[in-house]
Amino acid sequence: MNINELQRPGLFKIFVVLTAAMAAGFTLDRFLSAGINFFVRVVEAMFLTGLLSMVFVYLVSPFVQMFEARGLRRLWAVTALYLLLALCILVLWLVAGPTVSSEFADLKQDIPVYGERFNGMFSDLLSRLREAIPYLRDYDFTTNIGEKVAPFAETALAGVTKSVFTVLSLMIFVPMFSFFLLLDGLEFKQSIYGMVPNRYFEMTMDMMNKINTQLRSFIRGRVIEAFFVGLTILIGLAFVQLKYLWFLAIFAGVANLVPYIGPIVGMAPGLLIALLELDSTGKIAWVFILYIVVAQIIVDTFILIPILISKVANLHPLVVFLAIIVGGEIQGVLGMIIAVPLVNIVSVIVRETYRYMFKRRMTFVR
Amino acid sequence: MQLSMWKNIFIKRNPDSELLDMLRQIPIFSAMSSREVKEVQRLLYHRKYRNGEFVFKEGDPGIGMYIVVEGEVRIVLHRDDKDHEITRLRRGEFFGEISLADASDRTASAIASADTELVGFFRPELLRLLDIKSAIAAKVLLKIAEVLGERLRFANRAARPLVAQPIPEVEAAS
Repeated sequence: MNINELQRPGLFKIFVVLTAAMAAGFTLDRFLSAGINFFVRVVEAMFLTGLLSMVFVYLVSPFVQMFEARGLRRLWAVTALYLLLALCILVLWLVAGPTVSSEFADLKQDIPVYGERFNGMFSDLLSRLREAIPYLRDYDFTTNIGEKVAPFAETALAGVTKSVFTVLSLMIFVPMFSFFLLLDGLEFKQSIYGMVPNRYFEMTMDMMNKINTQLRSFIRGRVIEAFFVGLTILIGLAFVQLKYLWFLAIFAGVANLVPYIGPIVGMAPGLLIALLELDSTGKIAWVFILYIVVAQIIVDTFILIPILISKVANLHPLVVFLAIIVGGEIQGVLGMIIAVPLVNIVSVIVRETYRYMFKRRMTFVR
Repeated sequence: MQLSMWKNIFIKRNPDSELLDMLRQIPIFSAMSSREVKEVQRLLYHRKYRNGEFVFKEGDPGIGMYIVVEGEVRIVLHRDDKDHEITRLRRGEFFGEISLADASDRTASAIASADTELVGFFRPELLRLLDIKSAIAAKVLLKIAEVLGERLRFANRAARPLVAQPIPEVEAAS
């Protein structure tokens, strides 16, 4: 008997089994990784929606309570708030909408012009520098800087596009999610506490209550701070009739949500446009004073922060910087804004847990 | 731990009119209309405890009061390494109301002495009620003040002879 003939079906079987096993393995792997990927995406989406809904609920719940105190039932109080908010947005859109959108359209056209003018200013400065410092004569600034800056600009643009998409989807889901949180928040809370074992129940409730109080003042404080900084810029820029004042004010306000780096980023476009657009030195000086002295030092540091944020223990600047860098790396601009509140939430939780467990000499055994 | 977790999830959160009637018999809620009591009932937390389980311990931060719906709770003071029972509370009676008023630490321990069902009314909910339905919250607070006043008078009377009555000793809780 030929050995090859005997072995052939066996080999074939092994080949079939191995191939099937490999195919099954690959399929399983693809399914698993697709599943994990899907899960990660769901958690990512839920996380951001949940977080922003929480911020939204903290901001608007005093108004819901106000309506309830006037005798409205919860459902009607929440509905009334939403209608009122929609009306506010509509009015704002009618009043400032055309200005803002025309500002954006103008800005799109003006950016290349500004780029050229800025380049002009830059090369003018450069030629003066070359006259003063002979060493710089052989160094080709324009090419070198251009090469170095281009990749950053591309990344930033990609980040902005991604952020715009995220923001649009959040604009739909956050109000929806918040509606149910506002309506059934108490029932959610009771269900969650229902899961806490008896021996941790009072501790959990007390801790959550403290965390809630801290977060409420932190989030309300931050948003109110950003609003007033933006308003200050808007009023200040209106004095000198600077172009794009609505855009600049909104930008400064939103940027102010990011500590330390935010105010600097927020003032950069304003100062640049003032340098390029305004012709009198006095007006340019006023814009600089407005951004640095009036908005940041007087309004923010001397008035708003002592009133709004002092109740919340501040994080170490180093922690804040790290949070902003990591947040920016993960979620772009949006990540930079939410990183600090998020780290604050974690720090409040850690601090309160520590305090409760060690300072209060809480015993966990009967 | 696992058992009490699941036990608490499946407790009915809006119990029937029996609880409503019971709540209305409690001094704190006695001055309210049934609509007002219903409003308060929404804010209550239902908890179940096994025989011997602590509701809270002396010295822990207090967050509010409990009402006994079913079963029995012992209020115990721990002094000189011994537990001294102060009182036993049954259906309709309540305890821990001092913490509801001032968020102070617990002055005694509360231990379930049978399988017990309680409803808790806590400070965050009271503060919320003050914001939303201040009239109802005022009624609750007035009643708490009355109860506390009564206890203070009782304590004054007891302290007047300046003779410390020995507290009867009981078996340790655990």
